[in-house]
Amino acid sequence: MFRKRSQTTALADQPTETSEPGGGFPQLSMPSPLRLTAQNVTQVFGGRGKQPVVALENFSLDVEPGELVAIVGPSGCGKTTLLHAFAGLIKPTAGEIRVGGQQLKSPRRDVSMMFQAPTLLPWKTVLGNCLLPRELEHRIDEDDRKRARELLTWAGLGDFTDRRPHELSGGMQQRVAICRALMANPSVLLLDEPFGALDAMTREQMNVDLRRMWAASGVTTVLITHDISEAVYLAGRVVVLSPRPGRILEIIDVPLPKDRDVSLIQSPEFAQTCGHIRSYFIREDRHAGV
Amino acid sequence: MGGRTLRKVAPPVLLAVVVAAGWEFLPGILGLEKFILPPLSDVLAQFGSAFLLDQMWTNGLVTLQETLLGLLLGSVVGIVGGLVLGESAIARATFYPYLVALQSLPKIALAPLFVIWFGFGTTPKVLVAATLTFFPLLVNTMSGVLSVDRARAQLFRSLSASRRQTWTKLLLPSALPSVLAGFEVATVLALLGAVLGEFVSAQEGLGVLLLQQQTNYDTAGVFATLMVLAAIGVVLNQIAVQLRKRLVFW
Ligand SMILES: Nc1ncnc2c1ncn2[C@@H]1O[C@H](COP(=O)(O)OP(=O)(O)OP(=O)(O)O)[C@@H](O)[C@H]1O
Ligand SMILES: [Mg+2]
Repeated sequence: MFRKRSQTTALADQPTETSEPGGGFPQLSMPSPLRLTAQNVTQVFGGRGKQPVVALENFSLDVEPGELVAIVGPSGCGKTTLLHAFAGLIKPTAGEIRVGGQQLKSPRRDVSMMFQAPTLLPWKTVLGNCLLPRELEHRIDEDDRKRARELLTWAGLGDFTDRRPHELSGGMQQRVAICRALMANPSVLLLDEPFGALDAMTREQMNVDLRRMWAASGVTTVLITHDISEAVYLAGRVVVLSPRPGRILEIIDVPLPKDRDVSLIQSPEFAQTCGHIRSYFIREDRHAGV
Repeated sequence: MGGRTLRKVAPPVLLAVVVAAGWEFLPGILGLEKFILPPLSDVLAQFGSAFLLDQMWTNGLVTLQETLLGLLLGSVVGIVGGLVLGESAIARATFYPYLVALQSLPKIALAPLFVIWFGFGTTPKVLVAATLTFFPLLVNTMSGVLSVDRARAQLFRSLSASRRQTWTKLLLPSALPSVLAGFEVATVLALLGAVLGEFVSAQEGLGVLLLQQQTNYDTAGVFATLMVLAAIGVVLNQIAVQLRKRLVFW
């Protein structure tokens, strides 16, 4: 678990409870969040003899500074591709990505990506992995170490800082990856199915913690997930993608207050929104064979 | 000793005992001449001769020196070459076909050439050992670099790592297991190269000692020298194995 659930289950959207003692989300010197824009992005893979695969078609989205947008869609519809484009790892076949109004041409240090797999370095300790973004930027100083320790403690890994990744469970490795993504002090955070490998119970706790973390840091966040209720609980808006080639079917404003209590999961609005999203996939599934 | 350790240790020990017993008694039973297959006790008795021990020691040192120098030279050139081929697609396209062709050549056939160029001293043996060592290290280093985990490479790109950082913090550690696996193989090949080089032309070394013993039909001596060579090979290889275990702790 990120943290024993205390009496403060109410989650604030404003960064007010950041300096909570005892494993609260560490005070971050996060830079101000940036707007993230995708304009008519199309990505085609293959060519040269191979049947070209259209992974993403004419995708446009405007993520407000500090907003959390979730993207849901069936497997293979181009979600990871989209996130890679946001991270500057691929240059889309057509269209453009803008971060803070600037066209994205290559990866930026203030755009932080958490990959679908934990992708830790096996020869580094948990702490060393967490420090990697700083290490690539400059010499690690005591402040960095302190922050990394705080983040890991927040993530419930305080006792594991000197272990190696192979000594950790899959879920713990994912949490290290989240901490590493946060160590970069991002203006934009990209999360590719961060909790995909976790069991349902751990996952719910992680959702609560992620929402709290996001609230505390106010970072612009794009979250990819297979899990519809996770998307609805976490995001202000949910983007529903069609099976490949990924096109936007609908962008849903989640009708939940910004202050989200876990109990909201039981509310009719929550169930309704989930049901609405689910209906797309049940219909699409039939001829997509996903 | 626990039952499990016993089950692991007992079979090889038992085999050694059976082989040793067979070696000791079968030649007599089958009526083999001593110069064909001397009984084990005759071979072991060789190590009682101070003269032979002295010869083994001086010649062994020569062979060991050639082996280590060849191993060092071949490894350095192989690793550096492998890194270059791993980094540059152009270098790969240019050199790799010829390196494969070179690898298909029986390298011992180069020994006469090395003798013409470098005389009868240590150098040609070192070079034979180095040519044998070179290839596994080249290939293993290159493939270690090229088979870096794609996701990790993407991670480094997403973190705006420089090319130098990517090399020191990702590619080299990723390639290390494969490089050291190549080195393990190379230790044995280097010893092989040194002895083969000595067969072609030499004044000293265990290869020379073997040839002298052969000329004298001193079969027990040949076996004794083979035992020493095997021991050197095992020790070198084990050092490499331990090095790998120490450095690749993940
Ligand atoms: N580098 C690549 N080369 C060729 N095709 C690719 C490449 N990356 C992705 N694709 C193709 O693009 C499509 C979308 O892949 P992507 O990984 O974005 O899917 P996804 O929505 O993230 O799926 P999942 O939910 O299973 O992770 C797939 O059909 C895949 O085969
Ligand atoms: Mg994916």
